[in-house]
Amino acid sequence: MLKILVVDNHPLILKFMSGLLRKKGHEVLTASDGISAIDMLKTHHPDVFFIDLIMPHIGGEQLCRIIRSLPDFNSAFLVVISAIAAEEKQRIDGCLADAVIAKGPFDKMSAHVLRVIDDFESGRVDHLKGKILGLDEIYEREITKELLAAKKHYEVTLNHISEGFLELIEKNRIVYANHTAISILDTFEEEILSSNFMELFQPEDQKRVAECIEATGKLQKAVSLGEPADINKKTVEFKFIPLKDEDQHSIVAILTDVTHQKHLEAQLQRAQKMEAIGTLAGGVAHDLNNILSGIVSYPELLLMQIPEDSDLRAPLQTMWDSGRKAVTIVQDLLTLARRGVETMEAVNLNTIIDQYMRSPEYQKLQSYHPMVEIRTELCEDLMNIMGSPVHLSKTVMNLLSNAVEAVDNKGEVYIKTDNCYVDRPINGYETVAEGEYILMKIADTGSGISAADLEHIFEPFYTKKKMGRSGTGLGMAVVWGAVKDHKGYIDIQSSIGEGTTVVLYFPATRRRFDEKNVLPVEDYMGNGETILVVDDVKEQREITCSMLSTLGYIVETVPSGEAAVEFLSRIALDLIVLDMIMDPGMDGLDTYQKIVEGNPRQKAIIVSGFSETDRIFEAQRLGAGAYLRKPFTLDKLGQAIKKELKGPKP
Amino acid sequence: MNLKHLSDKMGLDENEYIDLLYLFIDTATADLVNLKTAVSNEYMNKAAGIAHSLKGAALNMGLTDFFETAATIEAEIHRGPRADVGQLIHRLTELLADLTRMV
Repeated sequence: MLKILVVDNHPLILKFMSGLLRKKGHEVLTASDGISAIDMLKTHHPDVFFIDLIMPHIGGEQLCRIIRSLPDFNSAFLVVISAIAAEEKQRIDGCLADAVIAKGPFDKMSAHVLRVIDDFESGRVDHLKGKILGLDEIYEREITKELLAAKKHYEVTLNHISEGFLELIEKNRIVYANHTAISILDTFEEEILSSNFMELFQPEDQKRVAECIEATGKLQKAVSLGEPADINKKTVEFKFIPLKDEDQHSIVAILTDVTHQKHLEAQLQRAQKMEAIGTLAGGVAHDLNNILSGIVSYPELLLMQIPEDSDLRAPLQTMWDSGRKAVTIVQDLLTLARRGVETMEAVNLNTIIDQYMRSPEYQKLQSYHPMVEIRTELCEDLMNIMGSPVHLSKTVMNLLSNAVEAVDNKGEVYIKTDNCYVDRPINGYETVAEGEYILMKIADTGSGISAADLEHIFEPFYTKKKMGRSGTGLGMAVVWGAVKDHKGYIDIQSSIGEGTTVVLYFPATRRRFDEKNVLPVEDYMGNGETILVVDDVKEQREITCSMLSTLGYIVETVPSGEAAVEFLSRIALDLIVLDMIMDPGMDGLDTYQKIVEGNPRQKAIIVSGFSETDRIFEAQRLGAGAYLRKPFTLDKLGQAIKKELKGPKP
Repeated sequence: MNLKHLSDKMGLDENEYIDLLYLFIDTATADLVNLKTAVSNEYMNKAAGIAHSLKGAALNMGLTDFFETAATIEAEIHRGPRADVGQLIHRLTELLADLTRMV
């Protein structure tokens, strides 16, 4: 005896199938829709399922897939019985059914149902795969196809709109989910259908969602959930619409994923807040600055005039200290207020860092934190940026003092600058302008910043420091403003207990800064010496060639190490500019080794887009000269070549 | 229409067939009411669905006249946006009344 579940929304089919199968001694269970069938599987374990294809509250196609996804039923014997077998062959294939019977007159259906059961009991079911029993007794009906086409039209439309759709029936069970809803909920159709809608929500949201659904049913009109709800780390807005006709009541939930929109809104809000505070700060700071000069200057003068043991010394000293702290705050406010002022000139971040590290402020910072080791790795040929030295200096000072103060006791702060090429989004930004950038990284091994604090870190006066002890509460606001005004980007990574890394990116410029000790171009001009440029990148060969021609050299170029070896075997040149990384074929070291085998006195300088490696050191050991990091500037290239040409032959 | 003939044709004994026929009459009566409402409200997709269901049940039961009339209603609905199916629904109602009298 088999236990058989028949699922069909027409009572006539249920009655007929029950009678037919019971007469053969089988136990028959019936369900009038998909969701009732799923509920039955919690307490029953049928051997065979007969499932209608078109049903309300989870259709046959979805029901078959749900049954197949349940561990206890993944090998269950599924038979689809369908009135649209002739018209919907493709949909029937999607059911993953073991057998399919076309609905028709009961006498024909009886024969097919009993035959399938016999085959199942005798283990001969393979021949049923891919067949539709009874198909030859019906014909493909144009009208039925039209009816199905209309249904499909809605399905296709619903599956291609940007909102998620869920249909809910009694007890908030989900009986329909379009593709967008499944994607927003990050689930599978088999998992979401028949599940309880309320279980999607956090406990704190469930009450208001339940109230909203209840109101939709009572008012019989669309009701929106006020605040969006958080689902799977997404921010989702909900609107509920009642669906009611003579025989069916349900509610459609429309889901809109507003995660991206909310993120942009928060960014905009933050930017507006910063702008407003900047404007306000400007006005206040201007007036305060004048007032403070009196408060700060006179205590200092009085302290010089009163005796050492005067009772007034301590209060005057306190007044003076407080006044100076107020001046620092006002100066930060003024820095914020000066945002957007066009004082852009070519500056080098290394110079800014160097100047700060020689300042009394830096000495003071170090004296307060003697256990913090400060390590620098400043790129020797760092490109310039167009910027405001005042703002950049404040930026360096704020980031460095934050990093040092974040280290509780013993630890390290690391400052690095480098040239880089940005061609992909930086963390926290949707898009970045592709191009050459200067990178400044300040990393500490301090206590780290929580995710919640990171959200507010650039807001003025949002500080975890003890107010008045250090800082003004405006440091990171100044950093934010400066980076924004320099069309740069900030990437902050932090973990509690592990430290923080702040990376700033500023667009690089090839303009030179007005530094008095810059060598005049005459000092590194060439005099018709011959140079071979070896580089596998065409554009790089052209840039270097152009620079060298400007400097007065006679230039030849080759695209590979092999070509360079061949060229120099025929013609002797004064110097080679050798790219270290070339692919495929010989790299710079292999090439230089081969060249010096033929001419041990060949002069060369090495260029590379990567950091110095053992292979560069090896080439230098063999006699190659300076190593230049790409992208290099005209003066760096000129000076390196001049130095190499003037020096003794290797 | 002969019940014995119909039950033999469907491979069922007469009592079984009559049981099913009672159920058919119940569901078809409800469906006909819904069909009339759907047509009068011009919910034509819904009306087509009901006619389709009536047609299928009649085919199951071997009720040829009923099947053909329901099929014609479905076809008419698909043929035009303002299909006049009042006469055909009336015909179905009469056929249903005949069946009711017969059992």
